[in-house]
Amino acid sequence: METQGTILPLLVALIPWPPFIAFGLIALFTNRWKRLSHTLAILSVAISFVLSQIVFWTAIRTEHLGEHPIAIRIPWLPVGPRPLEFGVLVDPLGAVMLFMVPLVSLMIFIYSVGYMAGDPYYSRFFALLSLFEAAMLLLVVADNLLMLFIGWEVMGFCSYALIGFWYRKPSAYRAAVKAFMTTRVGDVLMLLGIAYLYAQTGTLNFHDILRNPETLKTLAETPSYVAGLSVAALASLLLFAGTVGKSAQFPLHVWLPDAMEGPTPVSAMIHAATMVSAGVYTTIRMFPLLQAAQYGLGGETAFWVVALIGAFTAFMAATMGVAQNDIKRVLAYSTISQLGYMLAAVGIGAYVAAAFHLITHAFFKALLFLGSGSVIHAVEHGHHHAGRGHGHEEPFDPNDMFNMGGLARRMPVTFWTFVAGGLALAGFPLITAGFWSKDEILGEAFHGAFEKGELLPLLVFLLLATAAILTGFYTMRQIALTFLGEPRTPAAAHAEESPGSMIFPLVFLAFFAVFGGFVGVPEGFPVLAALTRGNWFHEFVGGTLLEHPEALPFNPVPVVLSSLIALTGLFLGWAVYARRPLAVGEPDPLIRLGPIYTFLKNRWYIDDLYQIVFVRPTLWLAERAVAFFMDRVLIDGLLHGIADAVWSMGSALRLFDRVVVNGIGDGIGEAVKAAGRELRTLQTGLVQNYLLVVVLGVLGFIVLYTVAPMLRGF
Amino acid sequence: MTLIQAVFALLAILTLGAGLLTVLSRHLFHAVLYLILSLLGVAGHPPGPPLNNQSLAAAVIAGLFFVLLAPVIAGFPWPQTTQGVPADTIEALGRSLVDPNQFALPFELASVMILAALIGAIFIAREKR
Amino acid sequence: MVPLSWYLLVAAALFCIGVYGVLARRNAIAILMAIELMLNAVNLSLVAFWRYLHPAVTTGQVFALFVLVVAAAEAAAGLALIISIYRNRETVDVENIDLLKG
Repeated sequence: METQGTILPLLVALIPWPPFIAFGLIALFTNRWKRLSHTLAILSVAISFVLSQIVFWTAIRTEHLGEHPIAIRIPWLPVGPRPLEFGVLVDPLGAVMLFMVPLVSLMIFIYSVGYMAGDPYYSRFFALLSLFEAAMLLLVVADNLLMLFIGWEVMGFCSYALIGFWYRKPSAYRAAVKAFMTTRVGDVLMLLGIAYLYAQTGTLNFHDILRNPETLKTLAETPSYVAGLSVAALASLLLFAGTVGKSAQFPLHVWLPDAMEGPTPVSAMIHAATMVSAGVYTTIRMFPLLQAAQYGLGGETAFWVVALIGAFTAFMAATMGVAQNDIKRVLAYSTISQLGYMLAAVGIGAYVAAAFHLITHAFFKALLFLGSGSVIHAVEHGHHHAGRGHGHEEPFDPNDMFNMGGLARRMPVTFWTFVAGGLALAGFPLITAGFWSKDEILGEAFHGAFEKGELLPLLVFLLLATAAILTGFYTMRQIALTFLGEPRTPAAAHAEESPGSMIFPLVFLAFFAVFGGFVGVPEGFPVLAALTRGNWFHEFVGGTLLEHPEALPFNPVPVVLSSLIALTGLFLGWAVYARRPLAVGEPDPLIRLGPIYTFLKNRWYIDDLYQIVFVRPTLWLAERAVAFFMDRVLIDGLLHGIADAVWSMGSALRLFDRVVVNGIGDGIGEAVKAAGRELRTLQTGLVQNYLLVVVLGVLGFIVLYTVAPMLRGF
Repeated sequence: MTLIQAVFALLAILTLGAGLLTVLSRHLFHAVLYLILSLLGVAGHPPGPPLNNQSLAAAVIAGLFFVLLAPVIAGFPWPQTTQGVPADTIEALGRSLVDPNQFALPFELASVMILAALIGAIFIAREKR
Repeated sequence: MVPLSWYLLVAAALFCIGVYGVLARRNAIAILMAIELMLNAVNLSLVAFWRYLHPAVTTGQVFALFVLVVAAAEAAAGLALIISIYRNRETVDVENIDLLKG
């Protein structure tokens, strides 16, 4: 595999490092100095941004970047016949990711300075955010599944740490744990997939697996002995499981709305622009595997699974978003929904469309989150200025849209940028980036359904189209409730526009939300295609694959259809919420939907279901079976038993020591003493006694010398 | 038994009796045969029992001693000499004491010894000061 | 003629009486006297041996003389010791002189 000289690949390899170093420095040294911390963090992201831009602009000028990506690798772990390697790879897909990620991240970092000002754990925030950034960049430049997974997991940790950033708040840390646990399910399956793939191919390198027709063919034809699937299909599904977790798709979507407990920049960064996109990015990366699988054993199963989960999630989340009152939660469900769009696109083979939507969505979703943060910030401060919020009355939720209203006048920049983002999200025709990317997906689905008559695209189309209507609806609802009409609370009445550090990123991102779509204008689009010189995005990113995917011939029907759908949704939303904005105390008109509303508001009761089926039994098990029984009864019992046994042994030995050993010792002593005592009586001190004994001795001798010989005569 | 022998026996009894009295008599100032008791203040004290606690054992042992010695002495074939006693034994004795070839040296040494004993006795017995 | 053995027996008897005295008397001076008895017994047997075995030489007599001399010296020293003890202990009863007891 050729490399583009060695400077460029080295630059690529350097990209993840500045934020990582920033993390280290902040975590270890600069905790006390807030300005230094944020400066380090922003600087590091800026450096990565500059490097990424250099790489990007070089990359798009490179011919056949897909075949000859910017890459370099070095051997690392010597396992098996081929060592696992460290390496970087920038192909077209990677290039556009490199364009988007540092840019959006930089905006969010800058925004955080304003948003997090005054927070006591300011430095810790930037440290974690930097670590997260490093991990995401690592994931983007990685050239193999292992490095990708490392970045994946580190991001997971940072997500946990940042969701639970305000750890004193019970809802926050519970949300963090929920996020971590739920994504863990996906992560485990993904790791299985990675291992499986490695076992089957002996490598994890993207280029070696995904651009190698023989490998792909072998994988597709080797049976996995599971449900009649080929290795390729099974591996794809296992890897997709990781995405289901990380990108919050059904059934592992439950963590993302709760993750809104984290600070808004976190929500913007991790849960809109980057981490959740990483899941989709991985699936898009592994597209060739899915593609190969469809020709092998098990056929299109993998595609079906991906597409249906994606489409269903898109629909489901959109319905849930409609009934939410928390401004951030609406956006969370929206994110889930849009990610579903991307995966559905992959599922029907619309590779480039999926990537396109991924990029545009990152921009406008980040924009929307930052905008919501601006609103929340303003309303909170308004609450204080209105003389409340000093702990005397009922708790005030600054996130609740029903506590807002009329902010358009008070926060114009926030308002207009938010509108830009919202329209992009809804897919407002022509002038929003979201329109172009969403349109491409719907177009592909339409093509597959109605022009090729396939079932899967049809299902996808129907689900996505419905979701699109709902998207427009809830977007308009959100805008109306938040910005239009009159302020419904004193807090909203006292809200003020946010500081420059927060405004600037909004404007910057709004630019991309509006104009970003023009890089992907389909070929043959009247007027505009000529202006943008065709679909650059499709041309460029399509080159990532072995076979450049065909661009669809221009068909006005899906375009008009998707325009209509978007407009319908928006109109409905306007009709209900904006034509006559809600006044103070007026309830949500949706309540008239009765049980449907309740069902949606409670998120289809899925969270509650999981709570009963998974969480409570696990907690019970942990508490009763493990903590109580195994730990206290068994382990502690064992320990106490051993302690008691040793104690008894010790006591016995002590007894032995006391009785026998001491006994002998003392006994000897006593014996000697007694002997001494007895013998001492001999020492009467009276000389005459001694003399008596002497005479006795003499007598004895006499006997010996006289009597004895006489006796011997006998 | 001849007369000499009888006399001897009498004398022996006397000697022995005196000896016995010496060791048995309660009143010491009766028992002066060789020694002067004037230094004793004991005269002023009421006399206590003369014998100590081991007197019985002592008697037994002394008796045993004699019992063992007597047969040996009696049964030993003592050599007899036919030599007569020279006439002037005293003179011979005196001469032998001062004759340098005989016992002059032991004589002198004996006198030195007595001197030492005297001085020592005086020293030991002097008043504490 | 009185047989030699008679003298020797007497001497032996005297000696044994002296032994008894030394061992059995409480008064220190009495013990000294008993010692003199023993020495006398020895003298007796010495003279007896001289008379019956070698009457020509003076050796036996001299020996007996020297025994007496030693007896005298010893008596002097012994009495001095008794005086010293009496001064310290107010007694000459040897049963009371047991400092070395134990």
